[in-house]
Amino acid sequence: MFNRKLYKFILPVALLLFTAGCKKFLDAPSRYQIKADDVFTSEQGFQQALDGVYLQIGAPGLYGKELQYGFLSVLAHSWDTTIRPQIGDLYYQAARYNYAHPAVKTVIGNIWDSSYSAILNINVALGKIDEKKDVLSVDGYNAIKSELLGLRAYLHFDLLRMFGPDNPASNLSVAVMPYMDKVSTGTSTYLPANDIIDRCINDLKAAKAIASQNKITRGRIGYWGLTGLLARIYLYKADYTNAAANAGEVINSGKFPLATSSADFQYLNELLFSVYISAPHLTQYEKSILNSTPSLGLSVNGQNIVFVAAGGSLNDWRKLSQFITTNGTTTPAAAVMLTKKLYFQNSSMANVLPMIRFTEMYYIAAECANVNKDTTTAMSLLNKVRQARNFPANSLTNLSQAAVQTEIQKEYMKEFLGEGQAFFYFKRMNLDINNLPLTKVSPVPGAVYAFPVPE
Amino acid sequence: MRQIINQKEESNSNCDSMNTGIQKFIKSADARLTKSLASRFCMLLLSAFFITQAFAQPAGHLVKGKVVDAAGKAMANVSIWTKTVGASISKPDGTFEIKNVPDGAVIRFTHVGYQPVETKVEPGKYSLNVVMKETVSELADVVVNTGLYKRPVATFTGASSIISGTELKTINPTNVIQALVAAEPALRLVENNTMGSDPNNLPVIQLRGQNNLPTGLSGQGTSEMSKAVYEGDIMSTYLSNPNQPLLILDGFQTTLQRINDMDINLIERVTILKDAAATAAYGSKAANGVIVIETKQPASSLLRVNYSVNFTTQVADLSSYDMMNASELLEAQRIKGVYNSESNYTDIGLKQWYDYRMRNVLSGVNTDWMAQPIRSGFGTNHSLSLTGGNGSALRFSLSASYMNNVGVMKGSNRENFSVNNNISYLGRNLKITNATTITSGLSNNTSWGSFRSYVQQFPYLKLTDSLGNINKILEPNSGQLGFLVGDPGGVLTNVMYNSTLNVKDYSNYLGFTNNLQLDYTLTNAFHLRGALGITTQLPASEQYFPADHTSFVNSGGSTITSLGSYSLVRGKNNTVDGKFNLDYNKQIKQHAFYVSVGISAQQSSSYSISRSVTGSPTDNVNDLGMLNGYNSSLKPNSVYSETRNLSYFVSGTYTYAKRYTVEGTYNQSGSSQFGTNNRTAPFWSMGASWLADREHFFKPNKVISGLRFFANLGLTGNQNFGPYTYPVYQYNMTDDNRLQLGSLVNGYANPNLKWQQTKKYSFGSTMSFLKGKLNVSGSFFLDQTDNLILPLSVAPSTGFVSYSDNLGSTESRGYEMSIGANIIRNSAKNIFWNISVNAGHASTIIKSLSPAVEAINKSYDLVGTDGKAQTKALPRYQVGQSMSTIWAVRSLGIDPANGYEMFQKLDGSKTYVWDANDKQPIKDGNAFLKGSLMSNFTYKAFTLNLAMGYQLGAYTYNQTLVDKIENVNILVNNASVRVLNDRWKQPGDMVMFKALTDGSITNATSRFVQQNNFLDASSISFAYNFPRNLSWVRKLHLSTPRIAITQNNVFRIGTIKMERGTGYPFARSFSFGLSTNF
Repeated sequence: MFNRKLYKFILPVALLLFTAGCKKFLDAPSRYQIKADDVFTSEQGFQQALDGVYLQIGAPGLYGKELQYGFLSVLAHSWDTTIRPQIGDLYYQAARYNYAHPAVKTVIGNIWDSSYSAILNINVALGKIDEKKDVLSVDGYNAIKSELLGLRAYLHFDLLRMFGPDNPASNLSVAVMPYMDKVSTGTSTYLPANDIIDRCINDLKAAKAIASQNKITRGRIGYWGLTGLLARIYLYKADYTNAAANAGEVINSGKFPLATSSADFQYLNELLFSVYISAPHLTQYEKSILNSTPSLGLSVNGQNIVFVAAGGSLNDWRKLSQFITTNGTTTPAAAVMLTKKLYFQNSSMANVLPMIRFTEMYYIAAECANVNKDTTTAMSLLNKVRQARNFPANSLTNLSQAAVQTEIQKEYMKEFLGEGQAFFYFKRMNLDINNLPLTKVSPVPGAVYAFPVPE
Repeated sequence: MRQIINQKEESNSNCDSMNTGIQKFIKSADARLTKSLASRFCMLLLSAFFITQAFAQPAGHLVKGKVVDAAGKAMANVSIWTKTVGASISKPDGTFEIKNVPDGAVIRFTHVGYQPVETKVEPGKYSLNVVMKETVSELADVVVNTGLYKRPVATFTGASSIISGTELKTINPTNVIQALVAAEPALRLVENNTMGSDPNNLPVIQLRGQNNLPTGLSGQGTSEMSKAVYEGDIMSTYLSNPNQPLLILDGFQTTLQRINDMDINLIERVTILKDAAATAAYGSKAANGVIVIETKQPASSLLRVNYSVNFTTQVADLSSYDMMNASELLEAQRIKGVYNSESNYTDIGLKQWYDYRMRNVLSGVNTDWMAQPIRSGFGTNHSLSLTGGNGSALRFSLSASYMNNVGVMKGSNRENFSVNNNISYLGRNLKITNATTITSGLSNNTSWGSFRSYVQQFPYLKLTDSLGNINKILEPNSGQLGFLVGDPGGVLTNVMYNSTLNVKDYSNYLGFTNNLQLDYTLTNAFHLRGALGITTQLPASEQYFPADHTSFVNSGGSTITSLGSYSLVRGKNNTVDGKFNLDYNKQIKQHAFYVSVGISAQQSSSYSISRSVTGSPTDNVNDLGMLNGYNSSLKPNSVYSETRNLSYFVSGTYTYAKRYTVEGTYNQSGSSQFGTNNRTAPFWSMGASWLADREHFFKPNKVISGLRFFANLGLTGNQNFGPYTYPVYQYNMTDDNRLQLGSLVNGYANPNLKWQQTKKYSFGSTMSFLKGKLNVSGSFFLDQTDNLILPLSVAPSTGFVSYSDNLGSTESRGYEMSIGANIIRNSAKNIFWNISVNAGHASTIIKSLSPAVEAINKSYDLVGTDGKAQTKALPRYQVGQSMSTIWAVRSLGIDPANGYEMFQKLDGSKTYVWDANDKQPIKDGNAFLKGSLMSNFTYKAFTLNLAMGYQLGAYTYNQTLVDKIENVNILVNNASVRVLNDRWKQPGDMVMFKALTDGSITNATSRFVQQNNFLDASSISFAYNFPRNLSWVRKLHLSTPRIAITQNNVFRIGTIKMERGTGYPFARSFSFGLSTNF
């Protein structure tokens, strides 16, 4: 009698205890860190995860140095001083496009790993954002999700531009790298460039659909940054219609006035998207230039080649009073000349490095027009930028299609000096790697643009 | 009702006084904690009071009678229980008296080993004669206590050993772990040649081999916590040794620290559970075996006091050291060319140094540096216990112990103090036990530094200057002496100088444990048990070195801001453990059933905070707040970890005709350490045993008197790994994105991570010959461990840097055997002599590994920045190899022609060039046979015990020979005397060592792989029990005074000669103990 009662009571209680309470009970917090589920309980948590990604992107191994004025600018021939063995293995071998050198290999490996690590962070947050939509405000959800999607596309597209094959236009179907759109530890499938481009475009379209046109978010990838990136990607895909459309949307938006003076070295108002460099990393540039062995800079001779010779101008604001020596003067006594837009010691500088400039939209639109043999439109677009850089109005006239393209190339070298974009231009146009402008040291035999995939 | 309220108030006031008492005791403790502890304690007391007082006493009759057994013999100490009156016991002549028994009351008589008797008091019949029958089944025989349930040993199908507390005490009167290792061949103490007999270094133990890969390989066991904190935490301590068996103290999981610091006098017995059938109920914690320790429970007796005292002397064992004396060292340095230079100028300067040092030698300076930090450590242990509760339902015991383990290095000791209070209430069907223990420990580390620095010191240097001061710098510099060059080898600092400074280096803890156990007999067959255990521990440690400490001699920086350091660690460990069990025991004719069902939950957390500051210009600036501050690289650090476990089990045994037994156990364990997708894990075991001696065909004979066989298999788990199962975020505290805080995924954990599982097979037999004079038992085992957690190489494009998964597997096999013989058993003359020999073997082979391990292996082949990484025989993990294989390049010896070492490459060719790629497995470091010999001789009141340990067929890389003879830098370190005598000197010398002048570094070579067999006399003890009838014994009301003399680590005979105890010497100990009851 008693026994039966006992069974009736104890067994269900024990079972209940185990099945119902078990899962929750076993959910103990682990180390002195925050569980992902606890991070994503508020909008602030998502915002912090997103800001964490911006910090990863702004780290010296990525856009805080090497993919801007460092490694990538050496590949883009932005610097010519001290391109010799004494500068150290990394930049000397980079100037020779010697990707097999251990120092270069390390930096390339880090670009790959860090980019994908940032993408992992994006994917973790994206994996939670729809599930936790109710803890976010509508604006917050839209902004955070569109930025996450935009950054994922930005990072993948730059990886494609670096690791994709040379002459990309004719190699769109070669498998390059994986497009990570979810958290996975399994083996990832390598996709060809056109697949990656399509996925980037899909991400960007989805992001654009929810991003706000009215917000000008230069430090984050907002609506205009997304549009600019779309223009850049369509141009890469040789889809000139869409490239011109997106570039035109930005140009005609009226939200980004071109500069009318040289007061702002960085042309901050012309930035569609930039990355913020946290204070501890600010000194990186100074260290690479101002240390006892001066390194990266553009000599007076180099400045003349880039800015003055062949139809340039001494009065180009990008040249005029822009270059100073390491002791802060403009006299060209010292060989290493640095550009003020990167001279963070000047306290008036914003701690940002450009990711997409407004002026690139003009170049994209000009290139699209030029491809369609509309040199007049192309020249008028270029002239607008040149005018904003202290050239007289309509300084370019009567140029052939090829000459217009040369002017575009020069603009990439002048406008994006120390920003690495010229490298992508060289590679996209498939210029002869042994015969690039401002070559100080011969590339290794068989040098190519494409970085070797590190895994 | 009013009465109850009054009682509540009363106990509340008791609470308050208790509260203040405890608060006084825990002076430095966290106030909040104290309060919560005290209130918990009060709650328990309250409930105990409540239960005891609930039984009031109405009027009735006087019932008298006598209890006898089936043979009519009077039975003493029979528990007699009446609902209205409570409990009492029968007198020595079997009679009893119970007052105030109402008519119709039921009186219950119980005694261990007898069937309970219940009698109803009929009106008028107040005189009772009770006959108690012995229990028919063997239930009352020796019982195996798995900590979760109990089974008669005869029907147990698993491999287990039971060792009584008394046996342990005869082997080692002070240390439980040392004693256990000596008594059980399956238990292995991993010898720590660096830490020697440092009392503050906890031993590392393994049961039946090591199923896990070393901690560094798998990333397991890494704890960011300070040692002082993790040693006291129930989870972290297991992480530090993933092979550590599960330790259960009075039903609850505990730490090795607790066992190490335990008073051996309190131990009733220890059960070691080895295979699946014995351990499966512990599920995911069972793979390394289980050690169940039971403490003495208060017995029904008159008030009884037990006191023992033990005086221990420890003496350093330096016999393995054989260093050069002053003149030998100077000569070796001369031959080596320390005092020669190509440059004439330098040569003259160096010769000046040689002459200076030679003058010291000639004047008779030959300092015995090794003797300086060494002392004879005199330690004492006191253990006092008081038990009582004769005849009543309430029994209690109170014990206090103080232990001071004084090490052989000056200033090093470990002091433990504990108070234990146990109250039991035994009702008719209900037994409640509440035990409270307060422990405190203090570990002082020596301020004299590592013993190694004294071994290496030059004997031709004077201990003190002419005034008797200990100098920080041992020799005047060249300027003071007017020599041309600085002293060869640089400035020699004197570590001894630190002992003159005000240095702090200690750790301590204060612990509180309360265990409440309820045992309720529902019917004869059903028992319900519940238990709740709470443990809190407050560990702390402090280290302070002033700027003047020799460790800062070579570090730059300002005395005020950077030299000198103070670090302080505070922690808090908490464990709450709850269990609920239901047992069913029933015998129906030939069929016996034992079924146990249980559920248990555990939550343990550990928090530690550590602070380090720098800048102490003088040793008066000696408190944390007085130092300069955090320098740029220091910040406070805190670590918190929490683990939760939930587990239930069902275990059933069925025995037919007392001969055939089958047993099965199923366990479902869940842990917060497992991946989110694998939160619970199933474990099981099945076993059978056969008592062949009870078969009808087995005729009683003089040769074989007992024969039992058992076999079992099962699946058990191991969760001694860190929690890698959560995706966790960490804030970026150095960078900001436009003043916004950013957070990042920090190691995306594997949601599929599983427990490690070990499939265990075991079979064995116990036999008894010659009427029990000779007992033999043996068991064989095979353990297959799968799902070992290893780093996984993932494509970087996944974004992961490190990622762990269940990838490895190992296989251990081995056996244990023991033979015990009663050589003399003469009760008439009171002479007894027992001898036992046991032997065991366990080896572990790697069965599979992740490809990522290859990268780790490669890292073990690097020479390192200082070129010395290969001077040790570094491990290499390869499928098919033993875990303890020694890898080195095969050596063909020293070429007599030129003194160079010749190696054999993998393809068999000969070379003089050492190459890491030529490493091959040389020998297994694991012993072929390890065991012990024990002898116990009793003549009247004298007892002589001997315990010896041995090891056969093990190999060791003799690091001493490498470090002290070939790789020694005699410019700065003294070396073994063999440097001078046994090294190659001229062509034709057939020697083992390279030339003294050969400056090349000796890397891992088979030349130094040596057989490590030994016989170690671990304990000899002699005891004398004073007879009761001595007049002084009677006068002092003593009952069993006993005197015991024990010597531990008496001698060691070994095949290998290597320095033992390099950082802290090994000790021989000698102890003298007295114990008595009164």
